Amino acid sequence: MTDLTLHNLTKNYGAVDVIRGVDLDIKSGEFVVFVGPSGCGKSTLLRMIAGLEDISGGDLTIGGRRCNDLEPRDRGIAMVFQSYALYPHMSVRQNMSFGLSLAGTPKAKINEDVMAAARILKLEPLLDRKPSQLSGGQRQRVAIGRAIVRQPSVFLFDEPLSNLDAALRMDMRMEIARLHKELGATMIYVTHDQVEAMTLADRIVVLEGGRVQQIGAPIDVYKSPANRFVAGFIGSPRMNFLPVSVTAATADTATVSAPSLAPITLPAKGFAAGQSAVLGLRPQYLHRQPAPGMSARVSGQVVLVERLGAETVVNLRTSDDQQVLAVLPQDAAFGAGETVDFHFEPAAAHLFAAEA
Amino acid sequence: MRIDRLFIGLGKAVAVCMLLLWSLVPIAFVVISSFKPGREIFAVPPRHIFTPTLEHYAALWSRWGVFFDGLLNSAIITVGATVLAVVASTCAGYIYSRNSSRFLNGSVLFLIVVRLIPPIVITLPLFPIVNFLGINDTHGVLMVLYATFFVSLGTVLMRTFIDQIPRELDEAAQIDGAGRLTILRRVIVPLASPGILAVAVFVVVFAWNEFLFAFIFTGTNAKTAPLVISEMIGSIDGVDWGILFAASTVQLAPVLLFVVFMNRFLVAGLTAGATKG
Repeated sequence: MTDLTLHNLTKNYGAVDVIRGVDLDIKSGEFVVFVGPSGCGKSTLLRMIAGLEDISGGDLTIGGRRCNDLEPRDRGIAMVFQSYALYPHMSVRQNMSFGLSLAGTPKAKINEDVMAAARILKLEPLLDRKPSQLSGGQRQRVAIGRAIVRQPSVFLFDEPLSNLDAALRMDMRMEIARLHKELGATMIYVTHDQVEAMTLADRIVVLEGGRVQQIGAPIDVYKSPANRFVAGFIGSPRMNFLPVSVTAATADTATVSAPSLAPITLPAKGFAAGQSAVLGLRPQYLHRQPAPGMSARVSGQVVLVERLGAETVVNLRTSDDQQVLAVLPQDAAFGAGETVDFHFEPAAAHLFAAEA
Repeated sequence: MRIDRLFIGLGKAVAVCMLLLWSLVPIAFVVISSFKPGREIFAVPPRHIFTPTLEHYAALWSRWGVFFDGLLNSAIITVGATVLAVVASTCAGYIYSRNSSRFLNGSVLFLIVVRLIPPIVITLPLFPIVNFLGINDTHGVLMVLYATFFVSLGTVLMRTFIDQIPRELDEAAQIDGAGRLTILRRVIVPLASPGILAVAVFVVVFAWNEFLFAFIFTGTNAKTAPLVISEMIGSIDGVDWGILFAASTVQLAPVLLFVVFMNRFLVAGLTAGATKG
C-alpha cells in the first residue's frame, strides 16, 4: 500500500496544454475517482501516472519515489483498460501470468498467484479459455485479475465498465467495491459516469479543461459544489440554473430575485447588491407541497412529464423562458400546460457568479 | 429481366473460361508435354491421347545434374531471402505502425516509389560494388538483394496488418513489464502472423522465379534453377524440349503447391487495408 502525490503536474502537446498543473495527495488504500466530461484530461492524467504518457512538468511520486522518468513496469502499478486489452492469442491463464513470467517469477509461484486471483474473481473454470470465448463481463474480470496478480501498489482503472451493458455494469461496480475492501489497495479510477464516481469513491476529483475543479468526498461535492461547473456536472438530472439579480447582500447572505422567483435570502459569500448571479437548484430539492422551512418557490408552466417508474421528472418553462426540472414522487399528477409552483428551502439553493 | 440476368451470367462464365484458358493452357502444355514421348510433343495435329513416359525426367537427372544443384541453390536463397525480408519488414512495419513523425510519414512514400524503379536500374550500379566486396556468385548476395527488393512492399504490408492490432495491447504489455522487443516478439508477431505469411508468400514466389539478378550476380557456385533452364535453351547440342519441359515442371511444382497452400494469406496480403480508412 502506497501514497501517491501529484505536484503541479502538467502535460502539453506542443502549444496545446492538456493538463494544467494538478496537485493531489492520494493516501495509501484510498479509492480516488477522476471524473469529468470527455476531453477534460482525466484519462491523460491516469496515463501519466501509469507511465504511458510523458510528464511535461511537475512531479509524480509513488511511495515517496519520484516516478516521472521511470518505465511503467518500475512504478509498481497495474492498469485495467476500457477495452480490456487482453492478449487475444493467449489463454486466460497466460494473460494473467504474462507479467509475472516476464519478471522471471518461478512457475510454482506464478501458478499459485494466478489461482489466488482466479479464486477472488471466480475465474477458475475459465482459465484455459481464450478471450474470444468469454463474455464482456468475464473479459473485464480477467483484465482485473491480470492486474491483481501483479500485486501492485496502485491500481489504475481507465473507464473499465463503459463497454458493459447497464446490468453488468452494476454487478462489476459492486465487484470492484468489494475488491477494494478485500485488497485494501490504492485505486485510481477514471470515469465519466457519476454514479460510478459517487458509489465507488472515497474522494472524487472533478476535472475540467485539464484543471482540478474540486476534490472531496462524493457527498460533499454533491452538497457543496465549488463552482457552477461542478454543480452542473455532479448530480442527475443536472442542477437547474436560473439567472437572478442580487437585490441585497451581507457578508454571509444574499437576497436574490427573478421573474419566476419570489425574493429569497440564502447563504452566500462575496456578492454585492445590483450584481447578476446564477441560482442553482437541484431537481431533487423541489417539492409540490410546501413543508416547514420551504419559504422559497419557483413557478412555471409544465411542458413535459416523464414517468421513470420510481420517480416522475417534471419539466417546467418559467415566465422568463428558463427550463426547470423537478424530480417528484412516482404518483405526482400534472397536466401539460398547467401552471405550478415548486417549493424549496433557501438553504438548499446555491448561488454562483454570473459568467462573464 | 430474367433473360438479362441469364446473359450477364453467361457473359461472366465465358469471361472466366477465357481467363482460365489464357493462364492455364501454357502451364498445362508444359506439364503434359513433359510426359509425352519426344516425337509427340509438337505433333500436328496435337495428340491428346498418349502413353505417359518419364523418359525426359530420367534424362534430366542423368544429363543435367547441374539443374538439381540449381534447385538446391534456389531453395537455399529463397529461404534465406524470405527470412531476411520477413524479419526486416516486420520490425520496420512495427516501427511505422507505432510511431509517427514527419520523416517516417515521408519515407513511406519513398518506400512505394522505390518499388516502381525498374530492377535493372538498381542492378547495374550494384555490380562493381558486389565485385569489390568479393561476394559475387554467393548465396548471400542474392538473399540480400531479393530481401532488399521486397522489404519496401513488405514493410507497407506489415504496417497495415500491425495497424489493426490495438495499441492498448502494447500498453498492457508495457505495464506488464515488456520492452519493445518483447512486445514485438510475444504480442505483435503472433497476432500479425497472417501478414507475415503474406509477405513470405510474395518473397518466396519472387525469389524462386527470379532471373535477372541471378543472371548478373551468379556464375557457377550460386547458380539458380531458372538460370540452368535458360542454359538448356541455349545448349550447343540443340534444345531437347522434353527435358526442358520436365525441368520447367520440376521448377514449377514446389512454388505452385506453396501458392495453392498459402492462397488465403496471399489474398490477405493483396487486400490488406482495403476496408480500412
